[in-house]
Amino acid sequence: MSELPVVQFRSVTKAYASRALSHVGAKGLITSFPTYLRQGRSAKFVALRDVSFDIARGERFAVIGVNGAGKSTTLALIARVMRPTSGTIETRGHVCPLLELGAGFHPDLSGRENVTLNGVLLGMTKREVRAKTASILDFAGLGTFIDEPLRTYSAGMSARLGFAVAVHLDPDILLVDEILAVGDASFQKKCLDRINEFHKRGVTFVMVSHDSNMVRTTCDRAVLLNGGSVHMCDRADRVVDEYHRLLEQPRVAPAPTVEQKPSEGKACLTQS
Amino acid sequence: MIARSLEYRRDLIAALLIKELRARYKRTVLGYAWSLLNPLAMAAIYFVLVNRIFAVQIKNYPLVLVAGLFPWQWVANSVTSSTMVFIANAGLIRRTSFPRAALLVSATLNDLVHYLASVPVIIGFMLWFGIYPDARWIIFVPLLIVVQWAVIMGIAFIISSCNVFFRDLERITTIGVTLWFYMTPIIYTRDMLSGRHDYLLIVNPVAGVLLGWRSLFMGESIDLMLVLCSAVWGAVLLSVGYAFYRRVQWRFAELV
Ligand SMILES: Nc1ncnc2c1ncn2[C@@H]1O[C@H](COP(=O)(O)OP(=O)(O)OP(=O)(O)O)[C@@H](O)[C@H]1O
Ligand SMILES: [Mg+2]
Repeated sequence: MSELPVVQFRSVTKAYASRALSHVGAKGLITSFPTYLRQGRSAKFVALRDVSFDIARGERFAVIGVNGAGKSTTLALIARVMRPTSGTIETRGHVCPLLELGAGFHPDLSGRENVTLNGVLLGMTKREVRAKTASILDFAGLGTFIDEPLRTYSAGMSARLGFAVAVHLDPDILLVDEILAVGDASFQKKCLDRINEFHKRGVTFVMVSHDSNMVRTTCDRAVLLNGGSVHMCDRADRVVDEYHRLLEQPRVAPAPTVEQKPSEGKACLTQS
Repeated sequence: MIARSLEYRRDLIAALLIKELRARYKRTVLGYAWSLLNPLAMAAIYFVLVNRIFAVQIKNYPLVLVAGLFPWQWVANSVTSSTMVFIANAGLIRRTSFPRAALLVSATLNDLVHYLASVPVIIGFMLWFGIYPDARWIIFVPLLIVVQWAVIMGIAFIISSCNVFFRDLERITTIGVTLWFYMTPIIYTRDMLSGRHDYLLIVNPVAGVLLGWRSLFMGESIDLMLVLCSAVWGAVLLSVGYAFYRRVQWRFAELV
């Protein structure tokens, strides 16, 4: 099938305002507040510069690069948590962002209560969560701990619960930001099995990982970001090799740039 | 599709509300009593101060105080806590894309639940002074709730959104709410404005609705014009606040 890509980045640039309004003082505040709201003339930190790539339906895609390369920013843009400063991003299908496991988990609530809360925060209705609760609890495999407050859990245990909810979300595009490194070996295997099952069902899988082996074995393609720009976008194993070659060079990632000029482009989003 | 989206929004607000309520009470022994203690302590202080020390005689003053302070608590708690709503949930906002307004709605409803839970105490005071709940409650309780909620939400939308850009607003709000408290007939009655300051009741978005509550609890006739005035404020604040929030909310994820 030659379909349209499910994720399409077209010369995407993302600039963060590098100084907060609270630093400009009272007079500056009054004069710069309107421009500030319009994301205007303040100095900007460019986290992504002119990034373009496509992800096809059903692909297992990795975003790799050194710390601060812009990987999390890329996922946040796909998830529409943020808007690009310029360029367009198109996504097709229901995007499920797993930028963090157990978003909104509350330490004083029990595991069971947190499952409902987390499921709803990630986009399920209560009815949908309830229908899946048995299966979620089974996947998490926490036994009697499920009715204990979350603050009594170990880090791995809350991660298991978070991942158990996540794999029941029924997404078309699943975004995962460095969360598979948690949990013991058997649980990791369970997660990878589930990812492969998703893959068979045609779910697109986009992940950020610092685990080169995992990228090599689980992903089809990858993009290597370096200082906010696309360094390479190709088959996963080639990109990982290039990443390692890049790491061995004395100078990694050009220093982040600060842009003084107001950016011309207008944010533009389309969704189909 | 629309039905699911409405169901989802309802469930989201409910889940956040239940989280707040459960989490607040799970680890305190006195639980519910704490939400009553603060306004009751304030009522006691003002009673001693005004009635005993300043020796100002106001009829049924304990009831006047209680009937004003409890609904005011809803305003004060919601407006004060709204400043931090988005910042306190930074992790969620940065990582998930649910409608952020749900956080505000559940926070204000949380304070509404506490207010409603305090109504039996108000009724206790009413009975003490020989006043009984009447048939008007059926209409006016929901009406006053809606009007007051609209005012609170409108202000909360504006303050919480601005506070993401300008954190000092939190401190300013604390001072503002104190000032607002004394500008509203809570520890004094409407008559004590002695006609010359009646404009204060019109420019104050909650004065009408708070006087409405008090009249209702004291078995007196409700000034409908003032309630209408609050309702107009509510409609204006809510539309302006929501429009403002809609304009700026897409930047929250990178600023919180
Ligand atoms: N909210 C923000 N405001 C200002 N700058 C930001 C913000 N978020 C990220 N940045 C900057 O953007 C750059 C890219 O950040 P990003 O989080 O995308 O990196 P990353 O590739 O995910 O790194 P890591 O491997 O450490 O997770 C960083 O230099 C960071 O300082
Ligand atoms: Mg990251």
